[in-house]
Amino acid sequence: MNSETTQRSKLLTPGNILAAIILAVGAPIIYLRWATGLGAVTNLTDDVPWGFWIGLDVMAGVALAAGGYVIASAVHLFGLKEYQPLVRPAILTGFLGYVLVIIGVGFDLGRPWHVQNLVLNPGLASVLFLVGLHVGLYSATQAVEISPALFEWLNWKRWRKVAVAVTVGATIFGVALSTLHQSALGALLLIAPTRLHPLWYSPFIGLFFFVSSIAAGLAMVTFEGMLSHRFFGPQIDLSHEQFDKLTLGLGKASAIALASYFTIKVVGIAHGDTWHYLLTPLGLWFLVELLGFVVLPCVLNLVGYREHRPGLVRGAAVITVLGIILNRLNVAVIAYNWQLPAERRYFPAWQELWVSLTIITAGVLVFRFVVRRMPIFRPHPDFGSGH
Amino acid sequence: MTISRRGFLGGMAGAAAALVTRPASAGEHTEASTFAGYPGRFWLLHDTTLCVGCRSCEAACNVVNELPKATAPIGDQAVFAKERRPTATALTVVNRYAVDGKLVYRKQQCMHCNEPSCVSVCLVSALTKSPEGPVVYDPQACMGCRYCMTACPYYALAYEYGSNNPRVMRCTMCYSRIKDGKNPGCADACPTGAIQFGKRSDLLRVARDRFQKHPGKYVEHIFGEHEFGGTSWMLVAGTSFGNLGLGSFANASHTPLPELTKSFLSLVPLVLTLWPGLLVGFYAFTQRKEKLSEEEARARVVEALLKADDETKQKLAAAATKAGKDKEKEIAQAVKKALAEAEKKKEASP
Amino acid sequence: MEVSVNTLLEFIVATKAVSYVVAVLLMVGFIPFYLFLTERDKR
Repeated sequence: MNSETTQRSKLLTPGNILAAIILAVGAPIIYLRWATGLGAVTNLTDDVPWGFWIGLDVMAGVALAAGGYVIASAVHLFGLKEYQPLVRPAILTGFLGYVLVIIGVGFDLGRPWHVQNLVLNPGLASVLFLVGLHVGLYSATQAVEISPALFEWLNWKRWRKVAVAVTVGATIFGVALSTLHQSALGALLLIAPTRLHPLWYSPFIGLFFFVSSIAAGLAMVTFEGMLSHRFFGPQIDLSHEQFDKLTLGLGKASAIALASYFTIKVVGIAHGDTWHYLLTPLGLWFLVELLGFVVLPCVLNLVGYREHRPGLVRGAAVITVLGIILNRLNVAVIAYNWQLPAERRYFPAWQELWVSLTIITAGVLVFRFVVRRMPIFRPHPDFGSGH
Repeated sequence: MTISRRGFLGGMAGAAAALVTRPASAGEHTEASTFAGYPGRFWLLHDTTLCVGCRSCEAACNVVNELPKATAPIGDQAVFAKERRPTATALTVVNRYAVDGKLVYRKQQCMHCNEPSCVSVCLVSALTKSPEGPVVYDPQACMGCRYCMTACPYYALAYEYGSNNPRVMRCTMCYSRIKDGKNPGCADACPTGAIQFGKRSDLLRVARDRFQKHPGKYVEHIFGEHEFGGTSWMLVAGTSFGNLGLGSFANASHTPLPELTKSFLSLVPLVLTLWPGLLVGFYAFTQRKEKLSEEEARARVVEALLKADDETKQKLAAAATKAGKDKEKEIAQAVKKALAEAEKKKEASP
Repeated sequence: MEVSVNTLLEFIVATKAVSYVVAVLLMVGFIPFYLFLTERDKR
């Protein structure tokens, strides 16, 4: 009797109940989308073919999943061995992030059963072809990079040995692929100079997206670490002091990444001579994005690192994550079609928001399943803290 | 993994051979070239001074494309109250503009650009530019990403959002009719000759003839001749095109829009070939640094041991000397004691 | 082998096709190149 009630109460945590509600509401929306078409659950129009799902699930999702290549290259290529404990959580977050992106794309596509044409009959002049191909290849690369954890759990020693041997090569390939597809997501808009607002449109938009993806990845690693310490405490091998020390290091790197991003954005304005747009309504919105979500977290990281205050770095990480989401939504939806009259502009349907929430919830549940069973936060007792 | 020299060279030779048999070089065209487009392709000329807004073209278009009849019948003036755009069931629309107290009408549809943005962005080649002129859509290839709709500067593409097997919908320039030697439906239906269909060179001459024959009637600019590399639908008008809803194209560049992505795309092979070298360089530096610091650590340990060795030796020698000295002292004392005892014994016995 | 190129798009597709193939081959070729270069380092 006692064990039964404990079992039930273990399952009926507030988190699980919330997740169940989200999924329960999301499932019929997803069914409706497939049964009757996109129009039933979205506010997309002929003028606005790309909306919240592209802006958040795809563009922001890929940027926030960048922690994998950033930490992996820091540890395996640049020799920053002290961040080793963060590698597996970062790659897991990254891999799951990309899987969620692919699922999100699958929902947004009108005819996803034709996706094989990407390989059979590719449009080589298309930036989206690049995005599709490289997201696929990179997801496979991340799967290879996280596979040692899986093999340790399954105790497949030989598979694990092979997977570990290719780690450095996979990391290098992953960085090359990430450089390309992170920037390609921004370059998607290069074809539409008349439709994207001049403060966001730039021939450098690919570079903007790539550099901001580094800041996004670093922030997500910090953010995910915060949440994991809060919710998966028992699984984690790192003490709070050790984690704080690493957090400060991430804060230092984030400060540099955000400062660099700010610099190239300003150069972009100078290059396009778009200063006069800054005092328009959208220009002020641009300044909110740049000052509130790039400069502010940069300063917080700066002070946090100098004064040894990991709390500031964590706050900066949250703001940076929100800033990345804001920037991608601006490029995809808010600053896009900026000259359209008001009645033709777009605001997402609540079902669009809910589907995104459903996808993210599913991802968190999978993350939780994996970290509770596989050597992600702590090394496997038989294999030590290898890669 | 060891590779013999022969194996390495053999592998490289094989790759080079595969390269030589690859097709497609672009001949005499270079980065600096412009492209003339397909010779003998068809264009349409829309003369807005002749358009009376009867919308027969819209009706004919719906018939030819087997679309449902428009909800607003021909002759209904209320439909002009707001500026319309092409939709999934109305591939072309006519809009009315008030210019200097007069009413001017303009037909709007896919412009069938010479260097279409939509064709360049389609990642499954569902949209292609045909040699006859029309941009052709293959719904069997399309996966519904809607990038084409995002890219079109003329807002000409529409989508069947109400379907669970949706297609992109746009003016087709009646491609199948053209292939049969017929005219597009709208050109045939137009009662005033505001839509003319023919070969590009012919229509350019027709337009310029009209400018000459009726000086002052037209603004002497053929819209679509050069904008973003030019379009297959050309317009002439008696007023500035800004007054007809085309103001955003007033200073349009003559450079085709795909040119803007071309430079980004060239990064791909560069990153794929440069990043491995660059990153393996960082990796090598890191390995070397680690090796050096390991060696340094080892050297310091050995040094420390040696130093300890020397110090110990000195200590032992000193101890030995001290021990030796102590021992000598002890012996001297013992001898002295023994002698003293012997003396005592001698004195005691007679 | 030459194809007739009438439009910018044909030029882009033709040159990209060749560029991507070349880049992938060279990128893959980097692996034996690097291994060959460092094969005696273990001694």
